[in-house]
Amino acid sequence: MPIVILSSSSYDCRKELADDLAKKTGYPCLSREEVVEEASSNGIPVGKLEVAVLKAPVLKERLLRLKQLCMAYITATICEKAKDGNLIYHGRAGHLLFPQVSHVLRVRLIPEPEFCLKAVMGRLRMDREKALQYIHQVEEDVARWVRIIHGVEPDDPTYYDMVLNLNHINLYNASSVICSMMDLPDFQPTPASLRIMDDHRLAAQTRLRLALDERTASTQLNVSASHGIVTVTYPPSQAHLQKVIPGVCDAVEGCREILCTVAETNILWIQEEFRPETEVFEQICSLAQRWGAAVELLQWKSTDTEEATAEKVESEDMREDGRDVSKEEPVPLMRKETGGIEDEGEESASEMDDGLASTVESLVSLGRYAGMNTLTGTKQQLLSSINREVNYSLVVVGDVYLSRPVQAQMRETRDLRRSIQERLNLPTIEASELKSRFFFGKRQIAKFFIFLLLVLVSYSLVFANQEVVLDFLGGTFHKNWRWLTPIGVGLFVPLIAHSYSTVTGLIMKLIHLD
Amino acid sequence: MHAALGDLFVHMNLFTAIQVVMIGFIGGTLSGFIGSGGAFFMTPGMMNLGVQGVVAVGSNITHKFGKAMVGSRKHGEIGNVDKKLALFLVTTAFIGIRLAVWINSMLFRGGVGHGAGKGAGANLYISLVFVSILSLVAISMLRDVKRSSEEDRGPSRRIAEFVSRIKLPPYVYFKVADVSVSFWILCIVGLATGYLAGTIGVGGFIGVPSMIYIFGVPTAVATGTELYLAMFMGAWGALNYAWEGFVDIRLTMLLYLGSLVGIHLGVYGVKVVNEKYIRMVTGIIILLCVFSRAIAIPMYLRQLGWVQMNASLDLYWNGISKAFLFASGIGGALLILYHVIRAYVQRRRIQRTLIYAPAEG
Repeated sequence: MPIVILSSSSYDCRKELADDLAKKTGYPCLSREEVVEEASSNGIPVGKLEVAVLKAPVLKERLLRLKQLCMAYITATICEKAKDGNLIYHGRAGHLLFPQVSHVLRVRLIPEPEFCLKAVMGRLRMDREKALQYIHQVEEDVARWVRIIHGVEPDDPTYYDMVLNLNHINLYNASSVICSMMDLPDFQPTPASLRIMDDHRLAAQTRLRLALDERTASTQLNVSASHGIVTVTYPPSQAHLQKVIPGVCDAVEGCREILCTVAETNILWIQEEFRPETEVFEQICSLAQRWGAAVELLQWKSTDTEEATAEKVESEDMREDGRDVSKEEPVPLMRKETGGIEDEGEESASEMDDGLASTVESLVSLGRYAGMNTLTGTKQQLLSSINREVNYSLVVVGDVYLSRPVQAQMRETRDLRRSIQERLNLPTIEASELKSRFFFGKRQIAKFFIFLLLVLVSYSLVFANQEVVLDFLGGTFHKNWRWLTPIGVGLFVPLIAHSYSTVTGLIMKLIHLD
Repeated sequence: MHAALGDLFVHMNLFTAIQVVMIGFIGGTLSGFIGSGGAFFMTPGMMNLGVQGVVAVGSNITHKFGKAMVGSRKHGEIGNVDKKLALFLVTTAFIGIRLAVWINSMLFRGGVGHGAGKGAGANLYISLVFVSILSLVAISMLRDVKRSSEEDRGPSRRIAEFVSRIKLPPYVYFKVADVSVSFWILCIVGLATGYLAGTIGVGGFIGVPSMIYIFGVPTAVATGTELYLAMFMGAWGALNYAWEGFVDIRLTMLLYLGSLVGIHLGVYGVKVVNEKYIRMVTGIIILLCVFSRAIAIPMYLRQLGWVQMNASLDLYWNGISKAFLFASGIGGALLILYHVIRAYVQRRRIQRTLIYAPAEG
């Protein structure tokens, strides 16, 4: 049965609804407050993180690690409580913890102000005015928390399956609506969604172990899990961890294998079909070697077209009982720990395709593997599946939208690249640009010599005619034609800086020090 | 060279040119490593070579302008720039820069004598501002390193909270940074940033901490916005100094020769050294630069006739100051290069470190 996650800024509202829902369904109920209390009693200072987030909009390295620890604890606790399949969880941003796990029903509650006000006045013994102030402050704090911790707006409806405005429906009817929705086939667990959930648990428990062990507690690590294989990426400055990590993660339940990769940063490669014998693979591996980066694969098949088509024939797809059969079709495949990718598609979920498998194998043998995900879904789903906590130095968009005509494919790929860059603030390029941006080909050689020539000519002219140049800058000429000096400097300096930086940049690229 | 030009611009021979390139290289390496403009090393370095303080500042700010223009696109792409905040700050920063250029020009033109003596007033003024501001910066940085190793918290919000309690409407909301700041506080910070950028070329040392500690802006946004600002402030400073006739384009070009190579190495160094170590090295190097500049101050005092000393001692004051500066700069750069080379070699050696399979696997 599904896991229901209720999100609201009002504790009283979500608690009341969750209790009613638990009564109606018989599911266990868990609140954020209970998890936080449990975490604190286990020595994880969630409160410290909350205060830090509210006080400072930026998290330093240590607080980032604390954030990861807290998130891992909450995720692991929810997974543990939900291991029998049923759970009602209510909190601030639980809906963001298991993106695209199909059997999680994410509900946003818009509380009724008067109800909240009375509840706060009763619970905290405040007068009306103070209670109003308190509610307003809590709303601001929760919004800030969601923004800083998860990097999204709490009101963004695309992260929810349902938004219930409790100004128009009472709590008890709202819980009945949720009960009805829980019965829909769309929210029933599948082997694939359960495995994704288990990968979440695995990654969270591994992260917890690493974060709580004094040997690894102070290191920034990336942890991901897929198909029971945990990948831990650590920086080269902590090379000694290679012997420590396996011992720390030993015997995490369900872990089939632990892969450790040294990397300062990650490159995310999004493509529909992977093959290790392609030029793009070689280029990405070469770049990863040069940057000391690990490569994360995201196999994505767009369903945007199918959806558009489905909209056109929507009426034909509706059964007599009102259920939309098109939505019952299994969508995707599997998924990864961090919170993004994958979904059902039971038959295809169990195994990755040969191309992807051999690409993973090649990356592992090169020591550049940072994890893998597959996703069949919309562009929006793709964007929300990218883990914002990972330090990506580059996102490469390879061949996607393969089923489209060439022109449409190019346009859509360009749009996707722009969306990733703008919405996720990640440096993103298309695979076709790799060569010109990062490698030294014929074009770069020509560019190098042109700019080198320009630099040599500029320097020669200036240093061969120093007297004239100085006269122009501060001598008699300057006194007579003062306004010309700023113009000359304003035009010449960017030109020389650009030319020379192009030359040095290309040299660094050539010696792999960019 | 014409006598008037000789008073203003340094005679450039091969040895001097090589030293300027070296200054650029060290400044660039430190700049890439630290993330600042490197002026804290380059300005005093050029002054130690006999460049008039006002010309050293003018040429350095021009160097900064070109460099910032090259890098600005990249920062814009990353999206950590609050353009509205930059716009508000840059407006008042322009006034601050203009004020700084005016003061420097007045002090230089008001100087008596020839050569070093003529610029002694401006040199003393620049050195004093340099020493007082950068010693504060260095001490704060080192204190921060000590504090962060003892406590587990982000940047202090004490000042930001104190400022937010002072009601000084109108307030301006900045969406990217997600903060509301009093217009008047913005004006003061912009003015101070511009003034320091125009006087010693290190506006970022004030601009970034102000944005973080006074406005409460996230560090990434503060850095991105400052780098975006640097382009405009650099341009405005360069144009102003060029208007006054204090830009030596030869120095700017020689600085580029070294700095644009050094910056790549510095940036590479950041990837392989932890944050605390970077801040500690930065703090120590800045402190040594400050000390080096302080050593030169008696020389300017003598040139102004405010203290009585044998003129031949100038050579020693300048020599010690120069040796100190170069020792700290070269030491810092070597330290960074050591890490870069070690990481480069290590990177080639380390491949995949291990595959571990527990019993059940």
